[in-house]
Amino acid sequence: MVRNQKRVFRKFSYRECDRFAAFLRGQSLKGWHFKEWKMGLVFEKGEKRDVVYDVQVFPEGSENDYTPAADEEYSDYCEVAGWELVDGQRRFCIFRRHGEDVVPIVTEEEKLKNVCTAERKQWLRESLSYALLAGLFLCQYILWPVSAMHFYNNMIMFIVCIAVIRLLWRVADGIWLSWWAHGQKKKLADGEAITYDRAGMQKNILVSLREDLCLGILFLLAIQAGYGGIAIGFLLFMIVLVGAEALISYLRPDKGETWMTQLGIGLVTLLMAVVVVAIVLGDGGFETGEWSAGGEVPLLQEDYKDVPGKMEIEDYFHQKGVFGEMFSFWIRYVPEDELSNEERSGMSGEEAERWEAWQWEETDFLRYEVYQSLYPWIVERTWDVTVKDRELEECTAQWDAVYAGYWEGGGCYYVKYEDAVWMVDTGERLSDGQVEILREKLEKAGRDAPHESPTRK
Amino acid sequence: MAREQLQTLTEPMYYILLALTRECCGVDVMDKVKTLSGGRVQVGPGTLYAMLSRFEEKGIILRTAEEGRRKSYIITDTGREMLQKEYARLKTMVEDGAPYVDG
Repeated sequence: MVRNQKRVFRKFSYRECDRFAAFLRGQSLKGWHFKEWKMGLVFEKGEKRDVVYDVQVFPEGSENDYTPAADEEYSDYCEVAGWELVDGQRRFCIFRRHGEDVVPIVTEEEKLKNVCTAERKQWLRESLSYALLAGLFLCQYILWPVSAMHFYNNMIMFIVCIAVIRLLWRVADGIWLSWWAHGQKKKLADGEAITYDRAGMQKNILVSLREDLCLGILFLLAIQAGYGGIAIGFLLFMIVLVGAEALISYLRPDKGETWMTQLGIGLVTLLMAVVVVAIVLGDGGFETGEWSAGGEVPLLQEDYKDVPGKMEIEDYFHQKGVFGEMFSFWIRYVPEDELSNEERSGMSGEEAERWEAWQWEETDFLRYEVYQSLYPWIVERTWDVTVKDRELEECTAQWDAVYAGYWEGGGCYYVKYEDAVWMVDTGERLSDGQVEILREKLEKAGRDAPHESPTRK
Repeated sequence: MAREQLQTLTEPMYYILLALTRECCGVDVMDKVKTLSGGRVQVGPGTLYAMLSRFEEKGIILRTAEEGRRKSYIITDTGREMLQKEYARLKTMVEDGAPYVDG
């Protein structure tokens, strides 16, 4: 079957408007004539002809325009002057020349001004969003993180790096744009002709990090970090987003409708995202669950003291990143005569409260976090984030560490070694002998890492 | 564009204002400019559109009619004053240069 129509998904920057026009002319020479800009550039099969196009940048337009930014008055003037407005999107307007002796749509000075204005507006818009994103990630994960765990998560570190690299890239592109605009103005003043056939840095340099590649790596890292459910949810969300964008590009709402349509599609997308997240959550994507000691637990209460009750692993976490490794355990010893659900449901409110208070009192908790890194900066940051502003009573000698302190308020020990940070929440002060056992156990655990996950109950 | 920047008119500005000394439809301005300048000056549609918008915004021209997509304009008193000043400036320049250039 012979195709009469084809769609080309090619993007041009405003600095490439002449290349864009040349591309359309080249297609016409091959017998493909530009018809419309609807979910890509649509070409219709016809006779091979030399059709001259002019791609103008309309600075009054917007990046959200899906119909030509030029109004009817503008297109009428162009029509009379021998330029037919074919279609347009964003700030681009595509004209087809009919007739030979036609006047250029704008002067060279105006064209340069229009291109520079459009490029500057686009740069500002994108850079602000990149700056916001990079700033948010830097604050959340590096400068004022809630937890030191982020330093040991490849996925989070990758997101932070990409956000920062892309921001720096935008800054470099802004410098490149200013330099380019200055050079073109000089050329114009010297009477030289300007050709708009070069994109900005983002498209010209091969090392440019593409969004799709970044997302691919992110997806793999998320799976590697054990966030498979979230990764798939994220992937589905991205598919929904791309679909929404394609739908808007196909419907092509005009200026008045653009915001309403985008808002409508945005709400539908959000709703779908919520559904996706709900499915992922329902599938146990975020469930921590209860663990039993199928694998070897590095440190238990019974290792350093007599403790009655049944041991349960309340929570277990382990992750390894390029900057180091961390693991945490939260273990409790519950009184043996714990009631079954049926027995509990038979209790009165007061009885249940009393029973819960008793159980809480009788339960022994142990929580510890072990961070290991060969990078001193990471160790320092981990220490700062873990200790925060807590007032510690120094006990460095007891732990034979670079620094160790006991936090009376929380019953926790904070210990810093050259290549590790420990947080041990024993709930009580320990003797030298007990500390010796803890040190031995946690050092061994650190050496043996990565740990095998205890099997699920 | 600041008002000051319109004090000295460029060639296309001058001819567009000349064309609009009589009420004229926007699309016809391009032809009129060409005729008035003897084909020497040609205004592109994009340039014309931008200038008409700017002139209208600054009160130099006035939209007189809008029939469908056709809009007609005419110069205002402010515009006429600007045109007269520019004419006088150009005339002075020619007179000043005449003894030297014409010999």
